Amino acid sequence: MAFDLLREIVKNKFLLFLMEEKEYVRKLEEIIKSVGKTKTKICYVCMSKPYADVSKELEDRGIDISNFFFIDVLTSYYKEPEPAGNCIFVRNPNDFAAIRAAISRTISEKQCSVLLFDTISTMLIYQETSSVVKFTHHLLSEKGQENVKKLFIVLKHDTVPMEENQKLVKDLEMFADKTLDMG
Amino acid sequence: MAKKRIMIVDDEESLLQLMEAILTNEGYQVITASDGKECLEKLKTDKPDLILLDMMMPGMSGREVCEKIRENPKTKNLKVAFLTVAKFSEAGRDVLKKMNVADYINKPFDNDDMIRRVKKIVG
Repeated sequence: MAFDLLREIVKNKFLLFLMEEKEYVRKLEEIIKSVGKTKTKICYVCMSKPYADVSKELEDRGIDISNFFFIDVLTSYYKEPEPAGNCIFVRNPNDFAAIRAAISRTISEKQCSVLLFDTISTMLIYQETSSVVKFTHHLLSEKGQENVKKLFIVLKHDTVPMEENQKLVKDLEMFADKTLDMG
Repeated sequence: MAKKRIMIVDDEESLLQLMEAILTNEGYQVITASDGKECLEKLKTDKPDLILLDMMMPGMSGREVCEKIRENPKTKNLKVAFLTVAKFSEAGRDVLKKMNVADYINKPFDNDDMIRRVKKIVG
């Protein structure tokens, strides 16, 4: 990697991470481990995998998730989730307002200083690019979250049309302090 | 002397009305459009002195609309300023320079500041 990941995370407020799907698990782990080193509370939005899978995978890799607070937008859509103290379940991945409210609540109640959005490109499955960008805008300009670091994961080839994915990246790059291509 | 013409493009109806009222009161002739498609359609017959373009709109983002304005030989030299809720990053401001964007106004804005910025661009 041509950059120091931890340094970039410490230095920047809004980071956009681009990665290939085949590298996704490994690269995401690098990011999470680097964020973990900052010893801060993390609001983790699980957009592409349910909370149960994400938390288990993190623990299996030896990552301490005691500082993680999750927002799961998938499980409730398919079944009644088992209640978890460190997770809010949003009923519908299409309900951007509910996701935003869950993020605000988690950040405020748990005093998280990092928001990790895994993965923002997956939102394109549910709504058009401009709605996803607008949602992101609202997240970036949310009052009371000026000091919260926002880390967004984008898969370069997510299961959405390439053109839409590129549009999303171009629009988000206008606001990102840095875009890091993780390969 | 002919009034300077300003096109405001925003999907928030209340904001369009407010900006139209403010700028009309300042002596400008105002044209409005509620999305990028309507803006590009109106630009086929209208050449405003300034386009105030919201970054986040349904269908096409302000960036996409601006790119299309710049691609078209008939509109490529029109003055554009963005309206935005989120703040542009340094990288974003570089993109604005490349797109020859005159300025950007953060929403919500102070009315006097918005007028001052518009006057600075179109006089």
